[in-house]
Amino acid sequence: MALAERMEETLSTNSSSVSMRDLVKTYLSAAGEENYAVKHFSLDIQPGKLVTLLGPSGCGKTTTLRMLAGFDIPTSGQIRFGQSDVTFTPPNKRDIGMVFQSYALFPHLTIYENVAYGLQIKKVPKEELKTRVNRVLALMHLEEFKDRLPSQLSGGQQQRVALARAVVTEPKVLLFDEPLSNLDAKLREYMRDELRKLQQRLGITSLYVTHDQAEAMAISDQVVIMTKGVIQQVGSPHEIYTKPVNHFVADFMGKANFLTGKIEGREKDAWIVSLENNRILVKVDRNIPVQVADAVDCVVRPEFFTLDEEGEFTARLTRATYLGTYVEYEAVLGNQDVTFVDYAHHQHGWREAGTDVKLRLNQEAVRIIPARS
Amino acid sequence: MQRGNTGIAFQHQLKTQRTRLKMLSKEPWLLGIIILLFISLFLFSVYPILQVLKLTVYDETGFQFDKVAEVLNAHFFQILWNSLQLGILSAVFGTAIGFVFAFAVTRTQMRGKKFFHLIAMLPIISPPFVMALSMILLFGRNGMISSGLLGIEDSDIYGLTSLVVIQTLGFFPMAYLNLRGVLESIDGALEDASLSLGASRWEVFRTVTFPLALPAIFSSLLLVFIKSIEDFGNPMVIAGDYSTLAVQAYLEITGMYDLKAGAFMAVAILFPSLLAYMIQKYWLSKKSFVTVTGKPSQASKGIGDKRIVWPLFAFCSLLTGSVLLFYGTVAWGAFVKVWGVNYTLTLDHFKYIFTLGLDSVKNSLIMATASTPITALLGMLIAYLIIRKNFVGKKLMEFSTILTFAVPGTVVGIGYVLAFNEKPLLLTGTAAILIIAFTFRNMTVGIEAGSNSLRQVDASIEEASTSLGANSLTTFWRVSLPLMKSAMFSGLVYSFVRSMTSISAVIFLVSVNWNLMTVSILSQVESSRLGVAAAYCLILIFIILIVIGFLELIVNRLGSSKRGAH
Repeated sequence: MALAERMEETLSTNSSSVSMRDLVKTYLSAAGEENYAVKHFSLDIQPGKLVTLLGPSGCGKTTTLRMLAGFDIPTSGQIRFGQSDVTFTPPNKRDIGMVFQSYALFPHLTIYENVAYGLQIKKVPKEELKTRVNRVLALMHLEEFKDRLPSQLSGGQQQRVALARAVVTEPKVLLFDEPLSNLDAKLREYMRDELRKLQQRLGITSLYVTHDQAEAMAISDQVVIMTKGVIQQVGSPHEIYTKPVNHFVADFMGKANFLTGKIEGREKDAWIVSLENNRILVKVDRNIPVQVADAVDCVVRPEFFTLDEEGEFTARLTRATYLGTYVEYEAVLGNQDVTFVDYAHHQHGWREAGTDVKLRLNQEAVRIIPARS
Repeated sequence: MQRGNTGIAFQHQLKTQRTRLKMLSKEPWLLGIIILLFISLFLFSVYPILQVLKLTVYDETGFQFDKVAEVLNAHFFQILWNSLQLGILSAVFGTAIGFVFAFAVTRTQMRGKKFFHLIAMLPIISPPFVMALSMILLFGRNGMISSGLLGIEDSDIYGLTSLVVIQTLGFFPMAYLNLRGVLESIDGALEDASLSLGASRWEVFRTVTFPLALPAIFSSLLLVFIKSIEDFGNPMVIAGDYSTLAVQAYLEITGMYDLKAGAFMAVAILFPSLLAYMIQKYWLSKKSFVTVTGKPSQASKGIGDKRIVWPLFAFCSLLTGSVLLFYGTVAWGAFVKVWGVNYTLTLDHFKYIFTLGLDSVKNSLIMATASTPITALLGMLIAYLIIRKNFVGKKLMEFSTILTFAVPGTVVGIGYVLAFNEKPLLLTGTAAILIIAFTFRNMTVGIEAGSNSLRQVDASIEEASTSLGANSLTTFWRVSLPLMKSAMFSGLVYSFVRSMTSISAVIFLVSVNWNLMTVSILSQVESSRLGVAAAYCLILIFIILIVIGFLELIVNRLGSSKRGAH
């Protein structure tokens, strides 16, 4: 579908950078204590980039988005669009486009009227308005529905209307509040890709909120992992997956085993870590505050282990689960539980629980983080 | 620790309010409207009531407690007791009948539900004293039943018994409507579950249905109680020697020019009814067991057992029969020469109205028409502000809007006379004072309906409008208001009906130039021109029915006109 390509010709961009400085949002608990919804949040978004806020519910991602939209006002801190301070600018003066979780289409207006609404408010001349609305409707394949009411459309169609309504005004910043969470799995993946293509072609600075890590990885230039109102890590999807800085990030972004080991020494730019009667070499990362003799947790993704007769680790299988593409094994390594996967089960066949297996560890990929205190 | 917390909480509140104020100041129109609303609510809801309260203990020479003692004599307490007794009796009978009626209409397969429902609406849309008038026509000295059928001479119907009968018939529909909503929303699956566990029909009723409806039964009792003790029209016509507070307050002020005594009577109605209202609104509404899930439950067919349905059917028939008899009597009374003496059909009473008494009909229509749209629109606006906006003093605004509604009409009437009798607020004798009284007294229902319907609307729909560049007022006008259409309709209907039919407040506010229909009817009854009074009632009901139909048409039009213009 050439939606995104044609969109490019239709809309010009007006996009700006976004900067959030030391944002704090507190609320009063029932006990009369001041609690943090968002705590000292700082983030820069380059023009045209899509940044995702990812975290469990209640982590402060939606509050952050709402502060950017102007629906919530930060307790302290500053928000800038380009050079202008918008911290206390009302939402209707911010020049944003927003796609809501519930789509929030105006139920009493037709699809055409929904899309035209923002332009009418901006007092765009009648003729221009008509052309712009019709062009966006055509691009989104919504022409045939333009005289219908939102309730007469399917979920996917409503989603497209919501997107059309948000971009037709050519906003400086586009905000997405879990826009795909009401769609079924297949449609969600499709819309996710369309949305990303559209955003990239248009080059609209975007902030996207989700709790779905696969969605975050698929569409983002940068991912911000949050919990309890605090940023845990900021980076590209690849960085976050391969170089998690703490247990929360490693666990939230994909599956991870945390295997306890000890730093024995250092060899050039690598730590020598003892792990279940083996020594492995782990690249030094200056962001991780550890030193010799520290107990550390090795972050080992399930796919870092492979079944190999020559492997340096021996583990006893406790459970095998056949999942088609791969077999997932649970095993005991020394006295630690591990999970690993075997994608080559067609060659290896699959092993029964109770048997011992040899495992090889892809040491290059392992990261260490300070052990939980 | 506790102290520390309060300190933090206070600082937090202070900061939040400051931010809100700052944001509000960026929408000067919205801020202006909120300030204007505060001023007018204070002036027309709070201030008049304060005037009444002040008058009871205070006059030109300062606090006057000896005068207080003088007013609070045995006579006063007798009247107070009369009112309370009447209120309790009517509340019990009205609620009991309303409950059985509501149960029959919602939980059984009885025939004729629609018809029963429609007839029950009659007392709600007609002036309060139609029943009293009809009582005289049926059972009075020249009554059709008393003297005509039974041949009783000198039948005396004036007194407590008649009042209780009339108020029960007139107010049971309120209890019915209140209970109907609750009984309707009790999930049939609960009763089915009870039946499946082996309970009999009676046990199901006793252990499931009735307990679930209990909060609504209490609130109906309170509502009818309030209605009864603040009722002015019926007791005025038919109480005889049985003095009640509302009537006595009026007589003290207009008959004996004793404002202070009148104010006392009014305050004596104010406290019990305000108390009952507050209990009803803030305590009972929280006790409700019925949860709105928005998920339609499998519609249960209701009880089909003939041994249950037939007695209920007989009961409902008898009840609606009585209502029809009362209204039919008034209708007939409007067309006969001299009731009880000469039953020849005639149009004389209507001719009389159209030649001599058309002014009050016109005035009532003008006042109601002027105040209705203002009332409904203001109601929706306030509902929007209360539900969707945060500003300092929101609770206060909410409270003052229910004040004039919860406060008895007599108190409001006296309060307005006291408050707006002098410059610069000299309003007595004008049309404005009537329109203002209607507006502020009838707004509450629109606000409630508007708030309820807004709560069902996803707030992000309005946020979407804001994010697209619309300010709060544009959002209200273009998004929220259209979505509150049905609430707007009930606000319009309610305020029109109340403006046309109310009497307890306006009887203090009418003047030679601006007389109203309900007041005219009352004076016709007092001068024993019952035929003319009946004709007036008929015209009034007729007007109301036409206007309701008309409003329905307009509101439906509003919703569908914006279609397919492109």
